[in-house]
Amino acid sequence: MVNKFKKYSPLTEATYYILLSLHVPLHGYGIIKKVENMTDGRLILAAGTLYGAISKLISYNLISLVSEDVNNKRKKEYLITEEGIALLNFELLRIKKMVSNSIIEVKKWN
Amino acid sequence: MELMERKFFFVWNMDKEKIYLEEMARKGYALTDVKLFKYYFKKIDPIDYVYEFDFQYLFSMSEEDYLSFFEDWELVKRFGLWYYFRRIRTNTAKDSIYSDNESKSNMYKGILLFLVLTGLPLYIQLPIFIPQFLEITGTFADYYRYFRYILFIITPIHFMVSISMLITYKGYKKRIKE
Repeated sequence: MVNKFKKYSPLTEATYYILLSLHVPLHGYGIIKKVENMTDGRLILAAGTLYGAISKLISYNLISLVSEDVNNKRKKEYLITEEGIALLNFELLRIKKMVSNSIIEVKKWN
Repeated sequence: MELMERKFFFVWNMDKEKIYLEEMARKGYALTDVKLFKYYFKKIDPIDYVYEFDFQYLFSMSEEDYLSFFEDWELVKRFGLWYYFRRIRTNTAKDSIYSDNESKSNMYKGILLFLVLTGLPLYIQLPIFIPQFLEITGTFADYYRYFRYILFIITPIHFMVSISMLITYKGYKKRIKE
């Protein structure tokens, strides 16, 4: 499993945020809005780019399609898989290490 | 008031087509329909639209699922495998449907795949341009001759388009690495 994650790591910021946003089911535009809110409007996922990324993440089995909502048949929703969560945790460890290293090194500068 | 204009835009001058449609919107003409080299507009108050085109096969998803990513955009028309989107210009990252070179290059990959698929039957016919194959006899000789004239025009165009799309694709691929 870890070897597989090494292949994906480091995730791009966009991919990381897509996975991060999908612990609740969201449809395409919902992901764009959520990521925009999480990053205070800094990261804007372009519709076509996101569409391609979602297709890819589904084929890697990192996210999955949620069975269609009865009330809203038109919109398909996506949800992170167990494997996706594990990858996110793997990445989170890497990022935490990056942050802690940065704090230590920056202190030395001052 | 309706307006129809004939314009000869091909896939390699997509950017010019965009600029043309955006200029028309600023003059107060909103695109309503697209046919082969024909653009239909309706009169509106001048507006600063940004147009974007996407090329999609939709192998794995339905059109509705695909369009659910484009709630910020208005789908003006689906023309073949081309989707014509527009929205009011915001002068932010929201004005484009592709935000990185990788996804942009993927669109060109799709176009190239389309060209390969349409090109195969075309290039298989190439031997007919070799002189000794030109002698046509048989029941449908006239039809075959006519068919050859058409091929003689289409094949070089197809070849040129393929080359230009390949160059564009390579360009985006190169920019991913940088």
